[in-house]
Amino acid sequence: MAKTLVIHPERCTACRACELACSMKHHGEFNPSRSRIQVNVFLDDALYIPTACTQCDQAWCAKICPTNAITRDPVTLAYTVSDAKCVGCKMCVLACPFGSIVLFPEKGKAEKCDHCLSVDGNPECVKFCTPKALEYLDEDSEVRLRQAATAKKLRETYREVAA
Amino acid sequence: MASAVAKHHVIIGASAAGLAALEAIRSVDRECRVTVLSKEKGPLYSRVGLTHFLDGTVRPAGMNTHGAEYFERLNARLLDGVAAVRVDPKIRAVTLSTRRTLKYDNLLVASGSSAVIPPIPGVRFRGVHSCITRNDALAIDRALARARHVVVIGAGLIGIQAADAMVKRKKRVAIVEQMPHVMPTMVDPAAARLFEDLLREAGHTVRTGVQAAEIVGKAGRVFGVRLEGGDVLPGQVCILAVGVRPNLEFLDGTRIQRRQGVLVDATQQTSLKHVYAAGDVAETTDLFSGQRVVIAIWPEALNQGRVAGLNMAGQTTTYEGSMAMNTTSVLGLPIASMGRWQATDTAEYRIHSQLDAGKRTYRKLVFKEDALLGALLVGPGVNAEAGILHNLIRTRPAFAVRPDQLVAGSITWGRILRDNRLAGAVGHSQ
Repeated sequence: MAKTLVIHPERCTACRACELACSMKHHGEFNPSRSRIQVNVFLDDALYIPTACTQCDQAWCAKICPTNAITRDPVTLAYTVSDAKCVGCKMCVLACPFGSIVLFPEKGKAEKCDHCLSVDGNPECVKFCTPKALEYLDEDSEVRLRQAATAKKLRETYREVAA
Repeated sequence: MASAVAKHHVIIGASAAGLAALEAIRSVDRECRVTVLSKEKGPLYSRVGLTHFLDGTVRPAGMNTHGAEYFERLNARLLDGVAAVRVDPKIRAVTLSTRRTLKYDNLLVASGSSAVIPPIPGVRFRGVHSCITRNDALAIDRALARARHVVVIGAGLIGIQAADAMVKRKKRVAIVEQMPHVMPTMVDPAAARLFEDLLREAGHTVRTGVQAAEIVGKAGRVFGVRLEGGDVLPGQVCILAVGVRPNLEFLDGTRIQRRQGVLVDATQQTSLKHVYAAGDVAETTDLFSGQRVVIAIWPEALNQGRVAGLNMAGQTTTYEGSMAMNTTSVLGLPIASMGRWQATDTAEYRIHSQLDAGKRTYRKLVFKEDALLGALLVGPGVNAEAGILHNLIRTRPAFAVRPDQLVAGSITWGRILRDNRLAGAVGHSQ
């Protein structure tokens, strides 16, 4: 069954263990600047917001990729980048409206959260998130509804702010 | 089952625009027949990958796009190594390089572009190559074995990426650009300066505002490029990247309207009925000014191809207009420009610009009233915010983020969420 990475900003303590876990899993080093998940820390507001790829149904990164290097895993429905196919042109970087594609100069290839291609276990960040700000849940209707409700609230805010 | 009245769509070109059209046609019509012509023989590949094959990021197969199973899945016929040589719009027929003739109900011209060869002596010497086809890139790759110095003529996107690839291949590079600065259609003089300095500090040569007068060689092989004024830059390989021109020879003899490219309306239809055009060959309108432009970039080829395909299949759809956008890295320094980044401070536009030559960072945002219209970004922060800014520009009226949110510093999705949460409308979910 499809699963989704659920983020609860209000539980996040900005310990950044997720970034360390992610960089260790994918780059073999504890290095927050090599992480695919980012904790946005706003100390003045006591607000910590982890962000990572949302695995869009209509994924613009995958649609724009000139070599079809970004494909969707048929089981987890997460999108992953093939190193053999990615040429490093960064079109996915331009296409992603959330800034979720990362690219480190030494490697020169696009990377993104692919839920560690986890079929049954948890992605590495979720395993190390003590306050459970990150959860890997079945993509059931409840989760969907909650995401839709949040999206709707966001849209209303944008309209208010824009007005 | 295709019925007797099933339409036949012919698509000239099997790259971004042509295949986006094929997919769009199939998304609304499973019955019609589709034939796709691909001029270059061999596996389909993306030209976006050429300089990245040269710099060692991928093997040649990494550039490949689709194999036979793709055309099977989309129930389309691919004619590999077959070009269009003539179009007769009166009887709706295309003559092929195989001398066969194909009748069409709708024709899509998505034939892409070719390298312009500058009119100077010496372009036929061995070691002189364009960089726009797979064969070009393979030839450059082979020629590099005997080269220590490489001269790149033309510093547009292809030229600068080719130069960067040569640096990664440990060559001494000389770049010649006839315009006043490198990447003239991609960045302003201030941003260009950062890259010119970076290249020169690394020991490479950058000559701007000067033309290459002659490619010089001995025994049929290049050994350098002589500039106007007499200087000779050494190079055992010379890469020509002075520009591209649309492949439209097969339309000679028709009355199709063309200027820089084939003129199309908002449905991507040309002045000839049942003939559409998309990608590098199409002259569309600029998203902002409405003026006629050819914007030969991969993302717009996809958008135009999709619109053309839907209209060919009978679903009326209009194209919103082209928007320039480019991104690359030179010597590891990222650059992106998008939309109306060229605008200067006038009554109409407000410019927010921050340049730090020491850190090699630059961030220029162009606003019209409260809407973001363009951005030019240099530095390590580019990758994090380029996509967010690009989409803010494209969705201007629907997706408003205030200018003061953007000028405060690099924008992230987290910061947008925070600003809006603090604005009070998004409560805690628990």
